[in-house]
Amino acid sequence: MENQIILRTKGLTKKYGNITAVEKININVKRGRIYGLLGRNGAGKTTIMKMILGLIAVSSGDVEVFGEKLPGNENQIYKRIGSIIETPSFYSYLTGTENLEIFARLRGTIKKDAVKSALEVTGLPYKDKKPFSSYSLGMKQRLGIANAILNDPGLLILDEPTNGLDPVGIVEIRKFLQNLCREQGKTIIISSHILSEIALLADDIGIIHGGHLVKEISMRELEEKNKKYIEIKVDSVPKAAQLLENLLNCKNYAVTDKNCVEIYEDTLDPVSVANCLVTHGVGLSSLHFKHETLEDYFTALTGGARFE
Amino acid sequence: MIWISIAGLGVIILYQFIYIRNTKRQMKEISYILDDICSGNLDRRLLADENSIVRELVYKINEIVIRDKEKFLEKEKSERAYKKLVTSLSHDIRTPLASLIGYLEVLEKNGVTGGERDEFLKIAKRKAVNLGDYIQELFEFLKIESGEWVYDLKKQNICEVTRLILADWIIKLEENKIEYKFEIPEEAVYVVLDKSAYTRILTNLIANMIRHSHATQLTVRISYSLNKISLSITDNGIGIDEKDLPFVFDRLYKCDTSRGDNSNGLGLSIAKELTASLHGEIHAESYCGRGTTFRLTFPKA
Amino acid sequence: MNNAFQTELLKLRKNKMALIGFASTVSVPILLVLKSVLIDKSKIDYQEWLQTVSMLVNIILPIMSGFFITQSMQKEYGEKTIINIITAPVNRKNFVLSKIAVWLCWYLAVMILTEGITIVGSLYLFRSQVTITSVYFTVRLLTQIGILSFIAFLPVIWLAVRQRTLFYPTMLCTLLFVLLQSVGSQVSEELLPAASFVPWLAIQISAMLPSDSQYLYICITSILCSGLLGSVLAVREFKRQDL
Repeated sequence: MENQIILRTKGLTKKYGNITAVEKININVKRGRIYGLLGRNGAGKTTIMKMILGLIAVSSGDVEVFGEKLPGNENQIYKRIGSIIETPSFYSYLTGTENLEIFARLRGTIKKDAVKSALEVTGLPYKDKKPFSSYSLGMKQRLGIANAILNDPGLLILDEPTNGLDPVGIVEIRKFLQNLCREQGKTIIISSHILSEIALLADDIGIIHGGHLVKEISMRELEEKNKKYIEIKVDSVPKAAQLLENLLNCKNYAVTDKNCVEIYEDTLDPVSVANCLVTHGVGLSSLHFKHETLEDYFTALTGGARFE
Repeated sequence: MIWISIAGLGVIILYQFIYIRNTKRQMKEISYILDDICSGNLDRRLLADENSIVRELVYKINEIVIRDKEKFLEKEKSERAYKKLVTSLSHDIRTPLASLIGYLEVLEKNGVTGGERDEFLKIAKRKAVNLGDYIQELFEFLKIESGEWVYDLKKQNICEVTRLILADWIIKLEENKIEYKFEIPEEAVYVVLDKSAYTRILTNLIANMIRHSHATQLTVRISYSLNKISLSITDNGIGIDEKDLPFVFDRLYKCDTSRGDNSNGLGLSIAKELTASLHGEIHAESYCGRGTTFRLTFPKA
Repeated sequence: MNNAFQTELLKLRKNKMALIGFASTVSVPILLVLKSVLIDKSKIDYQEWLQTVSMLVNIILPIMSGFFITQSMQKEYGEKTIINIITAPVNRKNFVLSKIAVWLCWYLAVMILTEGITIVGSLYLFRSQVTITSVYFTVRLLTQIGILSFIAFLPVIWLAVRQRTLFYPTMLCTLLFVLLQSVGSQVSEELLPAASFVPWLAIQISAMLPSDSQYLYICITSILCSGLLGSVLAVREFKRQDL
């Protein structure tokens, strides 16, 4: 089950006349993980999601969901996907409950009181009198999520679900989505233009810039790049450890392999570490100073465009 | 009249025909989805229309599938924890062991003398003791995970038990220059407890505080209402980052700030598992820079 | 299809436009009854009264009906609920067809109620003159024109799909159709052959023609063509629309 690809696009392209909105997008979304589509506004995130959901026609390329090609299987596939595209959109003159009842009727339900439980899970009142038009943005987003999870789908596609929310609301939604993924094993595709948001949430990241997928990378690999540490290879790890603690007053380090030590203390500079070790008779075969931030990394990828 | 009857009959037959066809189509779809579920895809759900006759049936099947999925996820989660444990074991034992050997080597070669020698011996001993503690925790963690922890549940006066446990911590707290305040009621409050599990919970919480919080003050308070007792352990330390707070009780979770120093991500998860086994709950509240409160609640006996 | 239709009915419950259209059409015969009672004091002729009702209803009902479907479609685009519907998923063809179906239901409900009130009103005003035949005639006339008018107006939904969030182009088109429909009753005999080919003119013409007239078939065929073309175009347009 692990590492099974739930959604895959091959050469996905959208053209409006002569203008290419997105070109040759190949993304691979793994089961039980959160996939973050990161890109600035207008980069093409929504276009990709809309093509996956059959809202706009695909100019060329393939979409494969749950191991099945999209054209011809839409009806079966879309029943297993919950989504929010652009902003949560509901009938303004109906209440949240009435709105969900409409969509529950449209799709069929998986359990008794499905609407009630979806509202409860997202912290919205059941059968209240307020029409959707007087909902706050946070409540609107919640209703969007309630609608997306109504039928307990295996895959969620959420377009900027935290857009326009206050910091508390953002944290709440983030926790909620993390819980869906970690505790209930859902696969989630989420888009955002905020790097820190994606970095906190996603397991895998696809970076979209100017309609192209610039990079697809797992968060673990990224964290490895983002770590700031000194990696040393020495002939005697115990000796080095003792010197680090005793002379350099460094407690924040880890022995990662037989000859390998990673030093996380950021007050230490590589030169003084090397000097100290060598003068006290430790054979130092290599020293590597890793210091790149996520922002630097993304800026390099997108050719100078910065993220928030 | 005849014509009206014939027309009526026709309508009924047509309705029946559509109804049967619809039901057949639904059955076919259900069967198709069930095939997928049978082949191991527990993400599938059956859908029932508002007025479908198979609605109840569909709901029941879904319930079974959802329950199966939960079990599967639980299993997967503990498998992941084991995998993570194995990889972090190497770090968590290697690092203190390496430095312990380092200190012992220096001592062995008589590289240091006098006061420094005593200092080195003390460090080496502390490292050995920490390593011993870690192995004890690891052992307990495995015991809980494999379901082999035997609980000896008895009705006990929680205030008395807590006082006894805290008494053993006073020296350690003073060593670490932490002011302490215990606000424990004099009267007897009874809770069904396993004494060793309860001791382990408090030990882990206090040890975690001493190790990571850099606090100078500690308050342990017990309060109770009609059917619940609540114990809070509050420090004035550095607090826990908002980003880490939801996960501090997860197995093997380490905050960024404690990476590298001697934390193993076991203590709090053991505390949580044990609290749950005693039918209690544990929560953490924290403000960065202002301290953390761990709150335990147990039902009164 | 069934589910999509049922949800359309659910949406109707709190739809103000549906209510306004309903109320304004139904109020036509009611107001005319009041007018006769309060102002004319029964100096009026039965046939004349019926013609006034029929003429006004045949103007108000199509206008309201046009408003209704335009607003119903435009709201789905404007509030983007269409995205939630299509991802539910609802087949695009079924979506358009269920819109037409609920439109028809609303239309028939309004029409039948209006007819009922007209008959009750005429019974109240002209009890002695009302016969089974005249009731039958009234119902037939209003129903025939009503249904033909609904069919001829189906291209409105195509325009509504094309215009998405825009309201006015579709409204203008509705008003144009209504204008043509009203002009239909004034068409002179020489122009009749040509006018029968124009679906919206043909609505009123068909009501005036004797049942064995060859032009009647042309009228009905052109109206049906308009309806068919309107629905097919609407489905086709919606199927390839980027949402």
